Amino acid sequence: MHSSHSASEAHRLLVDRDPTEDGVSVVRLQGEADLHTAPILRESLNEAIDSTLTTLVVDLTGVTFIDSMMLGVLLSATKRARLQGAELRIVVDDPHVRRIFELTLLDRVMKLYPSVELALAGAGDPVSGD
Amino acid sequence: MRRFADQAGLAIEQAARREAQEQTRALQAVTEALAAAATPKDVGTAIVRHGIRALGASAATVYAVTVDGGLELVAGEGYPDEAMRAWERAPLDATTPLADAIRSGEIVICKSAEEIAERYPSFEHAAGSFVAAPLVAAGRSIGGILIGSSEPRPYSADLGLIVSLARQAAQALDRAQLFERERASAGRLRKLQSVTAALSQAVSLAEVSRTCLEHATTGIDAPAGLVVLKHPGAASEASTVTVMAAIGLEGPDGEIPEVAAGSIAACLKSGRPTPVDDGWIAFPLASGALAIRLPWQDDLAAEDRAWLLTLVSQGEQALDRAGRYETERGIAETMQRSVLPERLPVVSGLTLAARYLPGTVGVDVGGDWYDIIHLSDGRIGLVVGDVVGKGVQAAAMMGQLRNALRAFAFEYDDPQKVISRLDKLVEGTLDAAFATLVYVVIDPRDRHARYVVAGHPPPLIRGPDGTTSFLEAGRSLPIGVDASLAFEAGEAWLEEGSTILLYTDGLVERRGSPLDEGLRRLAVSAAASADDPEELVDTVLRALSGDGERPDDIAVLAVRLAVSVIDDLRIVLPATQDGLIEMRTLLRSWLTEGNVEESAAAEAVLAVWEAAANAVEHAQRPSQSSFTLRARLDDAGRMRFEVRDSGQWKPGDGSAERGLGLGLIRSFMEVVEVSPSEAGTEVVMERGVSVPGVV
Repeated sequence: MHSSHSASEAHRLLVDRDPTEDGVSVVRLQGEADLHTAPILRESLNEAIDSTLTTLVVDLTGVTFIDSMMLGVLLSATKRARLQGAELRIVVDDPHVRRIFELTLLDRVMKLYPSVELALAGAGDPVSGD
Repeated sequence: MRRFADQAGLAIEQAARREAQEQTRALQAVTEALAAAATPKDVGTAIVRHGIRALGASAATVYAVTVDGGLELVAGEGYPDEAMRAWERAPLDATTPLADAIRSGEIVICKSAEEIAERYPSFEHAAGSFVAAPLVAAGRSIGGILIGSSEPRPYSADLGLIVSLARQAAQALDRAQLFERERASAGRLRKLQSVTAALSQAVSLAEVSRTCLEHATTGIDAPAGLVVLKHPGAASEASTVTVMAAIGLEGPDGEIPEVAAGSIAACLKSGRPTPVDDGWIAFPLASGALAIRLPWQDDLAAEDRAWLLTLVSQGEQALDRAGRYETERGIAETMQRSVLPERLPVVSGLTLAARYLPGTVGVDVGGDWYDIIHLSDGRIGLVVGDVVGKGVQAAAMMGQLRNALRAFAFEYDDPQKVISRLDKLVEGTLDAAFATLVYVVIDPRDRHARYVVAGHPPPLIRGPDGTTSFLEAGRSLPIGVDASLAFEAGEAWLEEGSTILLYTDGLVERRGSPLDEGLRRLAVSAAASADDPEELVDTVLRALSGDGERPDDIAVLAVRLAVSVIDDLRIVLPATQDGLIEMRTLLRSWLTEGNVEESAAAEAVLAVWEAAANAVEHAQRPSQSSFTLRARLDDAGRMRFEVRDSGQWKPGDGSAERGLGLGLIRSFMEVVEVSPSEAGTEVVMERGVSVPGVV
């Protein structure tokens, strides 16, 4: 699937996308989310956002390391989703990761939830313009 | 036929000789012009003018490499003014002929317009040909020169001239830049002297605070700031402060703006200058802080930081004097013995403690001082000094000596040179005065100390096991006594966990008792004391002057060298993805070995990662490049990281991620210093950490 990335990158970050149901999809990450593995996620998110999606949940609870490049990917995806009329929701349960979003003020730009269930809770409702 | 050929050959030969003579004349003219050029701009102008003339060209520019690794236009001729204004600054890694020449160290020639279009398609000027040469002084590229012609030219016959021109230009530019830096530091010295003068006029705590704040804000063009102090007599843990002075603040008087409160609180807690937070930065000032709103969102320039550090250290002494004045006038409710902080900033690898106690018997102002100077590379300069005499004159001279010593300390690494310069200054300008002092420079990394003891009691070393000794070398006469006598510097390698104690003679001198007796009592009380510098100074003060009367001021400074909790981490890795990941793994296990608390460790790993990733991303030749990480953890509770690479740091290359990365580094570290240079970039980061089980 990600033939353009080296084997080591694909092993360091696993990205699993659930099939879209009623316009909602969940993308789960497992592993290290840094500048080298960021392109893997970027591709996956771009693919997801381009389809007929209203809500995309990105689950970061399985991430063992995250850096600024990955934050940038999430930020771009948030903006891109908004342009397509969809909403990106990020799931964060690690206080260190949460702090990173707060320090960079990205928690004011992106929607953060403590669990996938809570993130999905609003699923099904049409997204109102922000 | 042959005659014709001979004549043609002769003509060519004569033409060549004429050209050679003209070139020699041109070179001579350059030499003369450069000899008269004093500033970098003069040098640049001379080079472009004579370069154009010598080569029969139509335009030329000279650029200098700046401190932050970019290029700055020094002079140019033959191009329209608007173009010159647009090209004032340029990045060093651009694909322009001049940047290429500077980076490669080789001359770049484009002989025709076609060649220009092929090799440098974005070269905007209507040029027929050009030559670009680097300016190299003492093995470093300090700039470049580009000479352009409206016609095509091979430049092959002119290479000799171009090389000579570039060599002379490099030497002249180097000289002019050096001279300019010296003048700038003299200018800074003058700025400092005016602060001293202003502070000596300020009488009350409020006046001193206001004067400090005014000089701080005008000195760096800051739009707003405030000074807060803890209430006199309040315990050092008290959280209430009073706003003593404010500039440019909206809202009711006496209120601390919310946006600045975070920085102020952090500063009061750590006793260290804070990183930039929402455009605010705070410096510790006596029992409180001086907080400034920076004019830009960027960090504080190194020069401005040095200026503010010096200003607050001056301010502290003045506040102490003002505090005593207010006490005598009954203005303060309770007498605060010293307004100077009881907890000094912790420098990586060192723990400091200091006291300045004014004399109690008929003394109005004193000539004693102490100073702590944060030099480059984490080295620290320690001063304790004593101006002979009393009264306002001694205090004024003390202020000037203190400023000048600071200035020289940044200029010269060798303490012997610093004190020699200071001595010349005293001889030359300050009349009929002399002073005793001790100046020690310590490098916490190898615990190497160099020191000068000018007519002053010797520094005491207390080993980790309590054994004491005095530093005997480096002794000279006081400064200002005899300019012909040289100063000597002593050297010592100190043990981990040992403490160096500097003090003024007020501590060890007692009427009717020999000095040696005082030194003996000092050594005995230090040996009996606890390890911690704060306790050490208190113990020593109690033992030697606890009997009430104090005829003289006393200044005491104790610096303890931290013990490494674990060995330093030192790794060199390739500037590749694998190298970065390996670094992260090694750093994580090192932090675990050092028992560093989890969230502090995670933050440290991310900050170092961001710094190293940036470097790796911009490595010139990744497969041949490497980066270095040095990490240190000590029992003073501090972590220090140095990331070094051979690339150029690009904090603002336009990508939002890099801005985020730098923001994260600044949030997770207390001190961040980025130093780009010819050899590469170094990022130094420091913070305190709670290490379970270690006090």
